[in-house]
Amino acid sequence: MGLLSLIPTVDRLMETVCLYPTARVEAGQRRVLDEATRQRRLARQLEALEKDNFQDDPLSSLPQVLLPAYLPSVSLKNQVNHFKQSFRKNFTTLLEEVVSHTPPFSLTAHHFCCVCGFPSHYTCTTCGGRYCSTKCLCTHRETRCLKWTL
Amino acid sequence: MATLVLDNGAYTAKIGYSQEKVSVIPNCQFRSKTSRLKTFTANQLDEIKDPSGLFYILPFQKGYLVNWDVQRKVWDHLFGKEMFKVDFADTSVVITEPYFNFTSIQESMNEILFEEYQFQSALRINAGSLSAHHYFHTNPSELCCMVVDTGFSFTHIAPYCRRRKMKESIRRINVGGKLLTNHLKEIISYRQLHVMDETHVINQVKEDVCYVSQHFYKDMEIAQAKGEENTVMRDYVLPDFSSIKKGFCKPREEMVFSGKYKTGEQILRLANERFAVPEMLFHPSDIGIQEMGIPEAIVHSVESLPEEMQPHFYRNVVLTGGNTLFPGFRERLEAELRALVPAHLPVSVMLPANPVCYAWEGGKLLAHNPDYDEMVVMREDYEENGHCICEEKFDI
Repeated sequence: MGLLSLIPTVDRLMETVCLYPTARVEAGQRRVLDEATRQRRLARQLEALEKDNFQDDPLSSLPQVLLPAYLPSVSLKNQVNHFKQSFRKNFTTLLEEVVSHTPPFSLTAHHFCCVCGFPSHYTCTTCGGRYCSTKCLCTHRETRCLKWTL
Repeated sequence: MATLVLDNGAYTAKIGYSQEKVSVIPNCQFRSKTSRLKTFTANQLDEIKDPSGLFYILPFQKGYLVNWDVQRKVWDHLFGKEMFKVDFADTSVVITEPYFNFTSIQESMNEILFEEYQFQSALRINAGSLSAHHYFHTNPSELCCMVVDTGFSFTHIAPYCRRRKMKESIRRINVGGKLLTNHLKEIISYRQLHVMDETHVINQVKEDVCYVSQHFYKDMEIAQAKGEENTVMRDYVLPDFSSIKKGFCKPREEMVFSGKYKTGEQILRLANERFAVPEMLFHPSDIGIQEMGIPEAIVHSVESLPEEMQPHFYRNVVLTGGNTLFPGFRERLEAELRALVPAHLPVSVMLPANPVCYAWEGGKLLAHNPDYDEMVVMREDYEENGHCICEEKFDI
């Protein structure tokens, strides 16, 4: 019993003396995301992959005064807008209606470590991200795990 | 009467008169951080002095044409004095559309072609149909073919029999060049250097350095080796737009495995990303997309067809689209198909010499076809009958 109580302190000693972080998380502090939240996070990541640009339009950051007079006038914009309006609002609904025709995959999936990209065997208990070694788990915990939550 | 063939893709437009050669031009507008007021259209990309942090304005979203403002501006530039100098009253246009295009988009396109630009006649057709036409022209003895079109927005697998597409067996996979580039940007930004703004540069990296591996797990093991044994690893020199205009991959002899480089270049070290990114075409589940990869989708599509026709489709698989340019794509696809298809059926996958322009060249052949005049809709017919005549004649 005496030896067992020493183990947590040994780990903490290692952290301070050797200055490397361990993957240990205190028992009460670990938060586990449920399946629905994990799905939402995945959907959000996939949506981010569909974006054209990650930065803002350079033109939008200019103050209005600087914009030259030859930019399209308001009346032309109204004329042209009806093309955009007619399907912009129901584009996403239309897209969902169009059956994608591809059923889900049937073979086994590969899983890759979210830090280094090599094949992984373990899963982060908190967020479900995959990792391959404890070193990658530490990096994951520090940088990505629960860094943005839904 | 001239015929203009326009393969209107989400990334590039392949355009040219049917008597001349094709030009591949980006189908979007650009804005750069340095010259903020000016918007560059299509091939004016070469005029930009500092293409870092280039902002793309694409008319296509998820593969369908939604932003007509931008598309009109690009077309104005292409049809105008600087490019093709189109004489609208005397020109017939062949223009491509994606499969399952929405009726509202089709109608908008009719209006724009006939009422705004006033072409003499027009033909709207799927890009895959042009590729199929090209294939049947070069192989007249074949009855069926399977067109695999991997482009920017998605991948379509479309079977064609006797020049007609089999609509119920078309399969779509939502993985395209855009997804691959964005994924590569994310993993490089997480592991090495923040490049989320640099779509143009990373697209170049993807095209120069990525390949499709034939033995995935074996390549993964080699990529984990250290130093000289790691034959997969490459260093890519990023452009700084002052001395180095365009990024390039360092040849293996110049690579320094231990320690840093002496020169002040920005280097990206890529190992497993080289083949893990194109792997998404074969396994979209790698990233969490719950869809089949290309080989399984081909098999799924063929199995939905009558049994007598199935061997013909496996023998005539045609690859088109930009993603097929990855080294090793054709061999890997053939090997995977061979593993999934019953042993008594022969499998043959064809990669044409120029997959990106294959559909355009099909359009060129179609324009010289004697049946062409019956397939188009003349402007007078459209003005009399409206959208319904286009709906009847065009098989989209």
